[in-house]
Amino acid sequence: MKAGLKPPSYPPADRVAITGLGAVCSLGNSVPEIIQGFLSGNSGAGEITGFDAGGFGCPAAQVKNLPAFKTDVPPQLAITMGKHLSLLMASVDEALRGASIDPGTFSPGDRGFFAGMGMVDYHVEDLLPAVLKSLNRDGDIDYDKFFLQGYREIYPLWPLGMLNNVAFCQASIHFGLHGENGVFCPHGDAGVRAVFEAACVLKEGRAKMALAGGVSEEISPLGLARARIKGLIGPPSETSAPAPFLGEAGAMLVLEPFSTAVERGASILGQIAGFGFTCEKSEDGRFASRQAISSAIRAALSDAGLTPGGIDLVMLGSFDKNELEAVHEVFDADVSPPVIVATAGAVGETYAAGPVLNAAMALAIPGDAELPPNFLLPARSTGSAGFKIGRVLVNGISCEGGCGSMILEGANAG
Amino acid sequence: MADRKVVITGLGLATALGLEVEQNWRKALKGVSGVSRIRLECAGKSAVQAAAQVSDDDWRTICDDFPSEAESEGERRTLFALWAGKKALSDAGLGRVAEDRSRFGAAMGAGLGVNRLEDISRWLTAGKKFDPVRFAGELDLVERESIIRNNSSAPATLMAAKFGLKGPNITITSACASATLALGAAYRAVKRGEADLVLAGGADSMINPVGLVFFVLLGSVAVSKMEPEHLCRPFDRKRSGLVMGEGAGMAVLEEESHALARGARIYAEVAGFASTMDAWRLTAPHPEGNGAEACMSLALADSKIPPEGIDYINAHGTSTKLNDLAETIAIKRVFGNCAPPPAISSSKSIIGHLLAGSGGPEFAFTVLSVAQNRIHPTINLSSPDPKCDLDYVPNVARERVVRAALSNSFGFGGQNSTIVVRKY
Repeated sequence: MKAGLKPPSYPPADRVAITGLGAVCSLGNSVPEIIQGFLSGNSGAGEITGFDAGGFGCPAAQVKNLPAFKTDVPPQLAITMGKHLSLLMASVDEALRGASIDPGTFSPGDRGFFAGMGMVDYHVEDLLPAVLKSLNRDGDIDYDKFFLQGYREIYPLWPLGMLNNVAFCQASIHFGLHGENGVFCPHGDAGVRAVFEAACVLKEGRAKMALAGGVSEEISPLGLARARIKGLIGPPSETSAPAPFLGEAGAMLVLEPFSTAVERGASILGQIAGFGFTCEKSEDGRFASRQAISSAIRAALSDAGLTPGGIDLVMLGSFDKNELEAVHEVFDADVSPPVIVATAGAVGETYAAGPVLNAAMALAIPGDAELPPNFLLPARSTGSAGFKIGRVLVNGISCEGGCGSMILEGANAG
Repeated sequence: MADRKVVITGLGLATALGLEVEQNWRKALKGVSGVSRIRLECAGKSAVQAAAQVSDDDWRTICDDFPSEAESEGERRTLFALWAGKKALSDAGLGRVAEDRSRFGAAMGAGLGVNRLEDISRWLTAGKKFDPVRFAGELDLVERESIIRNNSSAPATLMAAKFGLKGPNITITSACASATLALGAAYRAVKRGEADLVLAGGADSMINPVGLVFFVLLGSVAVSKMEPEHLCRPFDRKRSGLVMGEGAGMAVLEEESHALARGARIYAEVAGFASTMDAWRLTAPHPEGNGAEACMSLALADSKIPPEGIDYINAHGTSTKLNDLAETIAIKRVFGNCAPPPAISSSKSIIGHLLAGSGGPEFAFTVLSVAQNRIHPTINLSSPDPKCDLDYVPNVARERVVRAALSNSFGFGGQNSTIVVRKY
């Protein structure tokens, strides 16, 4: 924590505590594994497996060896839903366990659930048999054939798997979540929105506990194509310069009113302090504008009752220069600017999961940890020994212009 | 939550009934069905032969109004959203971007986008395998309406860019509950002071080849040989499934003092909202309507209106066996002691099921009922299901003082949402 800062003012009645963390990404299948990998300076980026991605000429940070999560979803539907389901279930499970919440801790109607969910793309193999049955002699789709026979090759529950709220609904069934809810989509700002809505329903007394998190897209030819068309990843490059890449992740926070958490003896890992949201595309139409991002950050600071000097750590939500410039615009006047970390260099662009993953990482990093120099901006030759994370700004940015910023207070804030 | 009232100052629609709110409302009150034989050239052999499609003339009007977006995006859902959004802003007296819009937001319920089989067939090898390497090198050949180009957030972010809405931008994807959840998110954003105004609603179109088989595979779409205009028959004994519609419904939700300060016309007030989850089955609603009941009860509690204060319910009313029965049971459990009971109708009987967008036009019709004390009918209700024995305003519109009303949307997977509208 920076010298001269007053300790946080909690526990005021309307503050929201974070009592559980769950995450899965290319660095590991749990928050401790991810922290270990991150602090070691590891990157999860690697050659894409599962299909021949050579044409895309880019790496990705895929989740590999994800332990199977047993649900009552029909096996073929679970395959169709793919990693969307398993990333969500694994991160919810870890977060609830960490918060010591079992089915009897809160009544089902008092359990809220909010998530940002990346888009679901079909697996080509799910539709390929239907396509092959529907081709004419020229190799084009003959829709008469498709409607008469081709579509019958599609697994009847395949449509369910295409709805990006269905994994969310399965989690609600599995974990008994009946309360206030929302599925936001699909970029980083959606992950921040999920945490915001969860915090609000708790403050307003509409739930006693809420899960808030996000899930990325699964790395697939369609997802990579969309990322390239949207400018999230560049074309294949012959230079060795580091380039943005996509990642897979799921991340979840357990939120409770501070008083509830204290009452049941939960470990308080951090608190929610403030939010800000804006939307504006940059002039070139490829990303959020610098102005929109800085406005979201300032709104979050204002909501938290903080000045820029109150932030110890900024966790960037993207690879984009507009975000870094906006952060500098807001913080550079401070005599002691915050440490800036770009976890995307380790885990990739993970869409709606990104800001929640960053939040979980920020809250789980041990107080005396040395942050890895290769993910600091500007890059340093050494880490940040002795640095204690107090208040953290986490951004979630959409390539389509949406911006969300949230401020968390870690256990070291006081 | 901050003590801010949220009022409705603008409405915009694009449905099979037309592109103007007045035209939609007039036809809805008359019980004119928007469902007709499907006009998709390639769908001659489709099991689904009826849908409530936006007319070709109206589609051309929209494309002419948004030529660059029609050229770049191509897909109907986003264009419908732009049209209805523009109309709603214009209706609210905000047609020209003159004022500071940094506290104006957008909240949209939107569907999954268009999956095209050509995105596979175009890149098959001689051995009939998909070639991802060639695909990666030819992304300029991806169809402009493909989900690869247009993800779910396209309508909300394009509206923000087009209309200068620089505040919160929200996309909700919760199947058929999406638009009402988006309206609820907008209501709360204004109520909490996060924004002064949010353009909110929903848009969808799945009248494309893969979309047409979507609900056939799930066994929830009407495929009977009945005349198209009679096919969608919520609460009727002969109902056989949902009938797809397409379009958008948008509303301007505005903080009261903001609206009054600029002299805006106020249709009604948003009085409450709630969401719940069935957490029951992915493929079916809870048979006793538990989640729906909780949702309506919580929305009423949020509005501080007792059940007796509700005169009208715009039902989810999908025309499926399971939903209509579960919703009926849930309504009975919430309103069973009310005398007189609220009138209930299903907009889907007229404009079809707009899927993720369905809550948008249904909210607009609910607002108009509250504002004008008129309730559109549930059409095709000629042989009521004995288990669905409430007052569904069968076939003929009704005049009734509507002090307050609910609009329900219950999504595939078990997400429920209810919004409460009160007379202003």
